[in-house]
Amino acid sequence: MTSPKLSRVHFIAALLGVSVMISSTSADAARDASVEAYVQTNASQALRTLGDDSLSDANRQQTFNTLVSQFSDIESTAQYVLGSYAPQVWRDPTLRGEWITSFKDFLIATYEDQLDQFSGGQVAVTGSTVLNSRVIVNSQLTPPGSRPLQVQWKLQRDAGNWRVFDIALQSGENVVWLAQQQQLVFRDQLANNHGSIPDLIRQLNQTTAQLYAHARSTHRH
Amino acid sequence: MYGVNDAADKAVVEPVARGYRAATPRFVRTGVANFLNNLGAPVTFVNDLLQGQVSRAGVTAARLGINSTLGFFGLLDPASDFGFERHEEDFGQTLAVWGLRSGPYLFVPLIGPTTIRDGAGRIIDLAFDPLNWARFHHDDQVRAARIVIGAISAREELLDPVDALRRTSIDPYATVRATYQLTRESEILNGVVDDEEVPSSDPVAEPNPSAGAAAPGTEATPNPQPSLSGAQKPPQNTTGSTPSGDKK
Repeated sequence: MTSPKLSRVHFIAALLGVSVMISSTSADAARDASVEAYVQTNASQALRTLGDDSLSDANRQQTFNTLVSQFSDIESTAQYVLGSYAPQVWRDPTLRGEWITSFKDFLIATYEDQLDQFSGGQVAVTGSTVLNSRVIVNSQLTPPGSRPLQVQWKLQRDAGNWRVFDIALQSGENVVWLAQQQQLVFRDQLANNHGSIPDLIRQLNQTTAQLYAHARSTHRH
Repeated sequence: MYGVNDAADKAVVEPVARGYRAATPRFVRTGVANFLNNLGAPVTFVNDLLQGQVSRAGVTAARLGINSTLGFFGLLDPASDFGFERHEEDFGQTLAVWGLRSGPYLFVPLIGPTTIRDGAGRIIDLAFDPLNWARFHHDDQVRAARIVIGAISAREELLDPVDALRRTSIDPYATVRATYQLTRESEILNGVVDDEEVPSSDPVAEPNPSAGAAAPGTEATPNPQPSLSGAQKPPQNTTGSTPSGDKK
């Protein structure tokens, strides 16, 4: 008795069978619909703002700045990125205020730079994962005429309200969170400048100015 | 070393990648990238198995089978449409899963950021790649073409991220290093989301323990960051975020 040859159709059917078995083993994670809606609304508004040609550069920047300030827990992020240097800065109210202001400007300019590629595009929240005290919201941002990119938003409660603590652009299954990256970079800088926060603030301010100069040079206005 | 590499990139590699982008429609570049990814599937498959990731090895095998047939020798990626999402594994990741620490960070000209462990892993991966030991007509030329086209395709895909990095970074070298570290961390953990502690609202009273022990204002001691050390386990998740199957 001869066994039938494995045809291409049988082969593909077998592979699809493996697919079903594999997919059935994964569990659905807990989701938070209200946080998903919050991200959907605010992220959409941010992209609309960046793509709004009726606004002047100054107005667009101001509107985006206000939106991000409301949407983000910038003070917590400003503290997190300092790592072990945070206590030193937080003990000094003047330095703390200077750091938060400088970091806030830098973060908003970075968000604007990173999100500008999606301006006028679409946001589609695709799910979320509830962690201990945070929610990770998954979304697809689709720039006009281009492929969607996966963006994750990490939110935590700030005075009872959900706020964005960190953002990650996802590549495949790999995720690099912006605040984690900034913490490593700032740590390197502080290691090289003998822990001088004022020097780091100067570097941040310089980069922020360059980002806004770049934004002005590339906008269509 | 980074400066030399950056200068060479700006002078040669980046312009070639921009030329490739300008001269080819997107579907062609996507097809090239798909084809090259498909050629790399055997390496991922072997490393999936070496890491004990049987279900992920099944996904890789399914992708290879589907894309090599329905996908016209890998030019298309119908496997993703069937739910077989692409992932990459290499021997550097396998060594990490086996518990080997990363060793020093290196920046190698024309290769980029790596570590002793990951660099050694690259060499071992060459042995897992059938194209490197198969004998056929013009095999050396084919292998050389694959390296050159692969480098151009990879750089083209990185054009926008590298541009953004150069704009938004206060120190591109440190940012490349941090990005490499975090990306490898994510790759080793197969993208499992982390759930590091929320920073204290009063860091003076209660410093963030995850932020390292260096005394502020003194010469910094490296934080116990994701250190590319081996044998790392995914951070604990509570509700949800359950790693599927046999994730590391």
